[in-house]
Amino acid sequence: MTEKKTVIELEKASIFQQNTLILSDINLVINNAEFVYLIGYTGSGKTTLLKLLYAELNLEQGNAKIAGFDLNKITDKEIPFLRRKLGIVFQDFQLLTDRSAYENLYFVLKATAWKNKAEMDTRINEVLELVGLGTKSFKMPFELSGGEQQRLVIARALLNHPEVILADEPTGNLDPTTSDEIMKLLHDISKLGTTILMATHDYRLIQKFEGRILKCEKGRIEEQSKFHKI
Amino acid sequence: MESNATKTKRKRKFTYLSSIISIAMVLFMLGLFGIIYKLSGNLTSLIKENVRISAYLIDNAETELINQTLEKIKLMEEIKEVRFISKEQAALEQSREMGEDIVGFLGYNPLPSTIEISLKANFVGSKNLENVKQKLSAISIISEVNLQQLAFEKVDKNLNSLAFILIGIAILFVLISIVLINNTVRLNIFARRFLIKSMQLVGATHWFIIKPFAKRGILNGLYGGLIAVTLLVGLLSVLPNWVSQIEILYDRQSFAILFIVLILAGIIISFLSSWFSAKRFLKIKIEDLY
Repeated sequence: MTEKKTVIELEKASIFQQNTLILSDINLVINNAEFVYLIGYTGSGKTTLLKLLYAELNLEQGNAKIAGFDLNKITDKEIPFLRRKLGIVFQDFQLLTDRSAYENLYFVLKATAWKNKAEMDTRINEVLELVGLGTKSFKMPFELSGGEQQRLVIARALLNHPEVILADEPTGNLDPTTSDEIMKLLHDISKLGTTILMATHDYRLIQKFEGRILKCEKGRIEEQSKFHKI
Repeated sequence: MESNATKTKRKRKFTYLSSIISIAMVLFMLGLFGIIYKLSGNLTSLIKENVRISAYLIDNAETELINQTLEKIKLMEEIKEVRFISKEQAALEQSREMGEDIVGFLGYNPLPSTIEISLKANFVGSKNLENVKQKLSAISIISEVNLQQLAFEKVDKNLNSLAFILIGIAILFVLISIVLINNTVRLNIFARRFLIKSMQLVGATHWFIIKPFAKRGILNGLYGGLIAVTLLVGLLSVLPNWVSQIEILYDRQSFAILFIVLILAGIIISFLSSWFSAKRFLKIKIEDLY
């Protein structure tokens, strides 16, 4: 069994977006290998919380730690190194359309200071196998289906062995069957020890797939049980 | 059917090409102005050096003394050229101009022997003229010095005003060039802002993201500069066909320096624009990209 370790910790944190208070007094602890849903209405602060966690927004009040980085003290130079410990999956987080699946992943490894070509090849094949695209490395993004493209985005997020995957509506553009496949994949990844924090509107998925639920509402984040009326 | 990848690559090549052409055109305009400025400078010198001082000699000056005087004048730092016109030659030239033999008409030759002097362009100014006049007047065989001072001053004043106008336009041209190249580069980088953001989100360092843009900026500036210089060289080689004797104003060394400066300016402006534009997009928030 994986040893329990805190990967995300927020204490009395308040998050502002352009001087507007979005979330306040957040206290939150998320451990490794946890699968956590972040739910709430549009504008309730789900994406804002994710942005804080990948250091796109500054922490104005309180304390926050993620993957060993203190968001109060993090410098601009340290942000890329934080992001290498995170995997970021967006609904529209763009793939490079002029490069194959393999080249998209190769580019990320190069961007994150991998040097050894053999090690890069091995890692790319590993993540492609993991997301079920082992035979499609040569395909261009436009030759892949929506679900396969999202798998490729997840493969990209996995490249640097992230401690946490932050997923913002990763199934937002997909049909129910493909969404289920992506959810299964994310759950499999979570079982391997990676924490998944996923913002979603899709309550059908929450009912169907296990996970801890955090609800953003009225500027707060509250824990919810699956059986609570969402 | 053409794939998206090919389309993207073609689009990118077209973007690079349009950027290089824009830089080349701006540098060409700047270079053209540089050439006009240099040509007008050379023309100014030519005009100034063609305004002459006449030093009239006393009658019956000995040939040896005249020769010594000519040598002495030639050695003065302000002097570019000296020409001796004898009394007889002066009468001949005058008769030719008037179409009548003035010696025959008057019964004597009224014209003195003359030394015609042209000054170096940078000494054509009222202070220097006075100085030259004093030095010439001090020579024993010179009876009178005709400065045509008014002509000198007019030429000097007008050419100085022209130089100021040209310098003003040159500064304006340089500023316009910087703004145009900067805008072209910024637009190119703006088109790739999502790529920049994607790289940031996967954990690329700022240097890794900026490096290819800076490198491309240097190359675009270099290619743009080379194209501009090629066009300018072509223009300079055909210009004598349209403007006769313009090549006497050509100064190959200055043109070579101008071309090197143009290429360097292209590289530096394009590099700095790329660097700062890419850096600017690194600071932009995701929601501001749309």
